[in-house]
Amino acid sequence: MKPGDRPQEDFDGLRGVEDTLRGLRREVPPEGLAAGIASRLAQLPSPRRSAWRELWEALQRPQVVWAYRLATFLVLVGIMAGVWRVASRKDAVPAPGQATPAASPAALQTGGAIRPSIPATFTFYSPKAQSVCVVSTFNDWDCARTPMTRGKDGTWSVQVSLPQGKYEYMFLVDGSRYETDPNAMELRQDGMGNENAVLRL
Amino acid sequence: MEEREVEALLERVLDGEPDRFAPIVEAYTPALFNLAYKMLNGSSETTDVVQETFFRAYRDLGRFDGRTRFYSWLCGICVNVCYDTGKRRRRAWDREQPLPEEGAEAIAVHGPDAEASLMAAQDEAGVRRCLGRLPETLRAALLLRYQEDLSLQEVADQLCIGLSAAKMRVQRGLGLMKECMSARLAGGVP
Repeated sequence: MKPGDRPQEDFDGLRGVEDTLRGLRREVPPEGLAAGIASRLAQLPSPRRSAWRELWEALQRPQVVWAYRLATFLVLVGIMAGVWRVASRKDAVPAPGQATPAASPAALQTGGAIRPSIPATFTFYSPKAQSVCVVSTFNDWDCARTPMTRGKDGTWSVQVSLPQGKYEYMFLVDGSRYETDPNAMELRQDGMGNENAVLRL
Repeated sequence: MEEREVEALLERVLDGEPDRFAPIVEAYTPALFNLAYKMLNGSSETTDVVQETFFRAYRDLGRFDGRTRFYSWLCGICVNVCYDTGKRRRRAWDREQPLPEEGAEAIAVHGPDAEASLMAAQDEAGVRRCLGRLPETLRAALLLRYQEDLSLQEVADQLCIGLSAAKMRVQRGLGLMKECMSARLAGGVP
């Protein structure tokens, strides 16, 4: 009996029976029983740890614990960086077909001052059009300065590099029809009943 | 065998050294034999029960989580094997009806002196006979507690019951043992 075990029992009047049971003669196994069992067990497949136990023990190993902590730290840093990046940009992730700004190390020199230039891709789906171009505040609404190229699937596109800023634009189809970018994140009334798409870089 | 030594051997068995299980079999065979012998009232199937206990333990060794003593775990398996064996030979056990839950013939024995004389009067065979007449659930609880020296919590764990239920079984078993031995002393029970 283990120390301190007795107090949890309070079998009044039965102490004598307890002692009698403890004092019962122990049976002795026949000689060779243990050896026989061991030899039969040796013929069985070796026991293996359960998959859950293997996984649990692996997770308890110090190097794994440290790897966990490191991975957690990196994930947190990644999340914070992502949040910061999203918060620092006014526009959200662009949808397909939208004018798409992208970071670029290139620089554009304007008026003697060096300002960073950011590539932006304009796309517009119009498979039946003969020509499409971008008219915008960055090209003085001049169609000839930013013609678009037709892709095999009927999507017209052009990439330009622009200084950081806010630009309004429209697509001019077949030289006569103005179309607002259907995927623009922001629109602005032009005062003549139309809406210009707005691109912020 | 120290528990740490057992744990070290078990780890080596699970690491691919199955022959390390032999010392464990050697160490615990006497205890399991004693438990199974008394659970089965000295049946000739005792050795089979011990062997089956070790087979099950060896097969399920990967599931032993170490939260209980290995010996306690083995006792739990052994009791279950005894239950299974008892079910198979229930017909043969019919002539050994368990004691009724209430109303067993007992003589009034009170006070420490009277109790001491009562216990002294019990011969080993008589005690075993009373033990064998207990319902097997109560017999298992008493044997685990007083023969295999498991704590009440370990008895509860290995019988898959709560601590209070284990305590109740032990107390109930002790009470029936006392009634049976008293009745034997008075000549009321053969």
